[in-house]
Amino acid sequence: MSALDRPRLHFLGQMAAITPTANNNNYDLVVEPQSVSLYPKFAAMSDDQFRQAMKTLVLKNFSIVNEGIVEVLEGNWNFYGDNSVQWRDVTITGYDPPSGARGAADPIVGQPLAIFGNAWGDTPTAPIIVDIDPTSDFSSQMFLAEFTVGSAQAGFSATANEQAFIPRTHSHWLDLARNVAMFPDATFAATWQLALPNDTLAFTPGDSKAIDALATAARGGLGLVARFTTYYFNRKYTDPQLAALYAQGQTVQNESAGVLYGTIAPWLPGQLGTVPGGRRLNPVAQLQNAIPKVFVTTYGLAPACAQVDPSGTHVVLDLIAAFRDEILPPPPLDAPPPPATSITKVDYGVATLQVVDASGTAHDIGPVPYDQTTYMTSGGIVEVPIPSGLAATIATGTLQIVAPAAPFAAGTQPAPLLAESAVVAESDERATYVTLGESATITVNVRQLGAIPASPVPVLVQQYRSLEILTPTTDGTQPLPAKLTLPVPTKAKPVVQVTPQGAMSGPDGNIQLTITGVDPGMCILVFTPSGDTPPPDDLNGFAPGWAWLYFVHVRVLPSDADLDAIADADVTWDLVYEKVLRYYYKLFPVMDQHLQLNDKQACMRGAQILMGLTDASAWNSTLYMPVTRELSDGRRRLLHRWCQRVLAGQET
Amino acid sequence: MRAIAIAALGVCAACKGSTSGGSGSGTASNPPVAISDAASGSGGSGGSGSAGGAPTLPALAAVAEHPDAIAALVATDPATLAWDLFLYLDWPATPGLRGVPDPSRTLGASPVVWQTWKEVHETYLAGGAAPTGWNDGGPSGPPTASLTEIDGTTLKDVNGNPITYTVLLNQGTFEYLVSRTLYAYTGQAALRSPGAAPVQFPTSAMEVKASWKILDPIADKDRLDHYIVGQLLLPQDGGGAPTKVTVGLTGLHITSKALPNWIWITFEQIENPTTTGTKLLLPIDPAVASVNAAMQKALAGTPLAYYQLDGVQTEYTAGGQPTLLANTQIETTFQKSSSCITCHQRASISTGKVPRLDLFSMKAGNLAGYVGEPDMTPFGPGPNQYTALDFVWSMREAKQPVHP
Repeated sequence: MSALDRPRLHFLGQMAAITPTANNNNYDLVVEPQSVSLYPKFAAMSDDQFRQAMKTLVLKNFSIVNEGIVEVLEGNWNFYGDNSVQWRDVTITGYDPPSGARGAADPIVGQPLAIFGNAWGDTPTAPIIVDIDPTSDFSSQMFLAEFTVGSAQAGFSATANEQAFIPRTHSHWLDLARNVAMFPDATFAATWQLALPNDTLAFTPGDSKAIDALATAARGGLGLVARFTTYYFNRKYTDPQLAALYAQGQTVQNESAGVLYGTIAPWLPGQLGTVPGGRRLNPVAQLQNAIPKVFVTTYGLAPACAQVDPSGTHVVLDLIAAFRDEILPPPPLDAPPPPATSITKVDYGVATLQVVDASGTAHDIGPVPYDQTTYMTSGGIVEVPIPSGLAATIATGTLQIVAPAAPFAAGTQPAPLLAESAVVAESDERATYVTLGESATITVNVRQLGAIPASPVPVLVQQYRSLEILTPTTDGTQPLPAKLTLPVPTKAKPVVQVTPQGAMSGPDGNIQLTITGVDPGMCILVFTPSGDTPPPDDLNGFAPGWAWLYFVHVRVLPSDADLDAIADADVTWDLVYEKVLRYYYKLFPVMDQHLQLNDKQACMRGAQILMGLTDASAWNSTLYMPVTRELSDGRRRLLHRWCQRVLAGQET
Repeated sequence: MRAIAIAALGVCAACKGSTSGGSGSGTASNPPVAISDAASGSGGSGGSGSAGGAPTLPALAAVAEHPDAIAALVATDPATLAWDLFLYLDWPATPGLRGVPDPSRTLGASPVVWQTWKEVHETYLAGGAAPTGWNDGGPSGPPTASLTEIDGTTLKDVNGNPITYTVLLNQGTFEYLVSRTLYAYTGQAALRSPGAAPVQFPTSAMEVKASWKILDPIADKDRLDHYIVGQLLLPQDGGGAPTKVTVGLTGLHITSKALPNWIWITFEQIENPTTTGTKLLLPIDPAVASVNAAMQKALAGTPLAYYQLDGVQTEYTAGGQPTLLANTQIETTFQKSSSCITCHQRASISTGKVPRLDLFSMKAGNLAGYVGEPDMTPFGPGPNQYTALDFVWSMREAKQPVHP
């Protein structure tokens, strides 16, 4: 079952994200995502005024996150970002063969791993990262076209082709407390799983038994998955440093780079491709951060996954997200990411995997190593031997990890660090874009103790709308927007109509939902299996824990069909700039390097390319424009009509 | 016809003469280019005084002015043909005339013959207006350059200045366009009418696409005499008045209709890797490299000694594989999917939804040029189908009448 299954390769390296931030702005209400436009304050600015404003330092009140008054850039930390992702110095660090001892020797160990976007002519571009919901911290998705391991002599690659593409991978379990010593970026983490379908894979085993074993496993299933975590990110420049560079006329990019490690394993039939598989252990205990005056005060662990291996001798745990890190003393905010091996785990004392039987009695299965070395060498995968006589109990009971000596938060009772949720309801359709009035299907995969439920399980579907609001301050500082996730329909207008609103899992363990866009905007759909506690009424931005819920994102784009009524003769440059291109020219200055979106002549010369890159058929390509994927169908048609007029030699 | 984009090529007759004591004789249809022993004129500038060993104009004209000779020579010795055309077209022009070499001047001076051809902005006028005739006294001023390659990217030299582009048509091409009103979009749209005669340029038709580097008198002081030079009007951001700049030729596509699918030739300046940071990704055939070396030696002392032939293309495929041809200055980012002949075969007009076929494919999400045998399915009489424009993509510059 995905990373829990053998054979596995583990990898370790760094990832850098160079996301643009004016559109994804935590410091001000810049983009009004419902209508895909700028808020009036910024829409009223000339293009030059807007760009200058984004590069200006302002005092912001960070009391919402206990950080006081801070001088930050209005355009947030990377106005010149280009959405690119880079994996750096990523190498294979270990191999778990199909059976026998883990950490087997193989020539693939030490070999490089790389990812690429689609090619522009001769050159692969970078993969891209973009949020479906620009107001959310929880909705990142990565697009890539190639994933390679090893060399031409021994290795494998997954490559998008005319028959198959590599599906987007999505952030899961966005974690606000991975690194309990740091803030802002370095405290965050996310877990991802990349599906590599068989139609994209090509293997060259050479002298590597590991590659040969992976090829065999892949061909016996749906392909491979690469499950990985990203955390301990630090920005290259602080906002004041960046402002100084802007003042010198520099258009520098401010990357955020951090630790990356993960595991490549088989993708087996019946399993999701982009969600970590297996039985799910969710955090229970509230823990106390011993480090004073930091962002994280009390916290829980993050989820873990588990399954019994095919031989029935071990419980395999996927702890890649679960245990927390710290580096003391914390390095400066603009320091490069530390070597992963220098990170230490918070000490929770001895951790033990247990199974709780039907009577509520807990039985020890075995100790759970969670030190950094184990994490680094095994991709967070731990195999715990099953004591004799417990196999049947493990099959029917629920798993938990306990650590009696852990620093439980004051006023809370000792509790398991992690405890199994019997039913899991997840979906590969983690991020769905739909046009107003149109429909899409989301399949929810329901599993009970890791298997298709023996009898139908009811699952409640609840909709929460994402919004940002700005509450003026009284101290002269500028407030930060508050991120709201409000229940529908009691506190917010629905974004989609969901049919059915609750359902029973079918014989295949799946539920099919039809969603229809009823109002432009963003929402999440939360799936609560019967027996679980429904989520609280408000799932506001930094509220701890809701990232562990089972949910998907949906964005309803405006149709902008009214633009179709404009006569061809009136589809002028001025119109298409105002209705389509100006928004992107203001927000994404990195485009100046490729195409000056405010330059009529340049856009006329690039009309044919513009049509190709914005065509809906290119949507899965990393070359697709706009990268943010919020160009409505109506605006696309308007842009294409202008391009067609240019190609027809008409004066526009 | 053999495939010759990067295939083995014969040795240049002119070079044989140059390197073996003038013994090259050629064939009846392949007259050797004579190598004179001394500078052959006094009207040149920019190094022509040291042009000993430079080819003579009559010998070059014997090939370049005769489509039959071009067709014959490309079949047997494409590298020689390419160099003969390059040198003929780079012969200094007769002042006040278009496309006429000046026999009184020697290689190295400018403007050269092709610089006096009709530039696209002189041909495809606003509103689809008729251009002035060929014999209009020559260009009235520097042409306005384009700042982008056809994939929309802008190449910058190491000085940070953009590489710019011009496209020019010879008399055969221009007068055919005029004769059929194809300089106007409406004239091209009429090709979609039932019974319209297909576009078929005369065998004398030629076209060039040039890439230019702005010559910086300080940064480029050591190589100012390494270029065919010209002057261009450089568009300014925000639509301001263009500025006149002195430029050096970094690349030159030459195409000739001497064959039905045209002949595709490209040259570039040999210092481009240093001055523009580019790298030629398609290997130059060793035989072509040998011809280049010999010609560069023969042309020593002239700017032309700083140019190389990258290749010649006359077929879509060779040995079952697509033929490729690229120039680092003109197809910088997509050299490995650059096939001039396949791309230009897509030159087209439609009165349907999309007026022109696309220049690039997005197969599997990758942007790439079209290579190999052409896809004929888009062409036909259907409402959203296309009519071929006989490989002349510059016709996409044609304008429609402006309605008040």
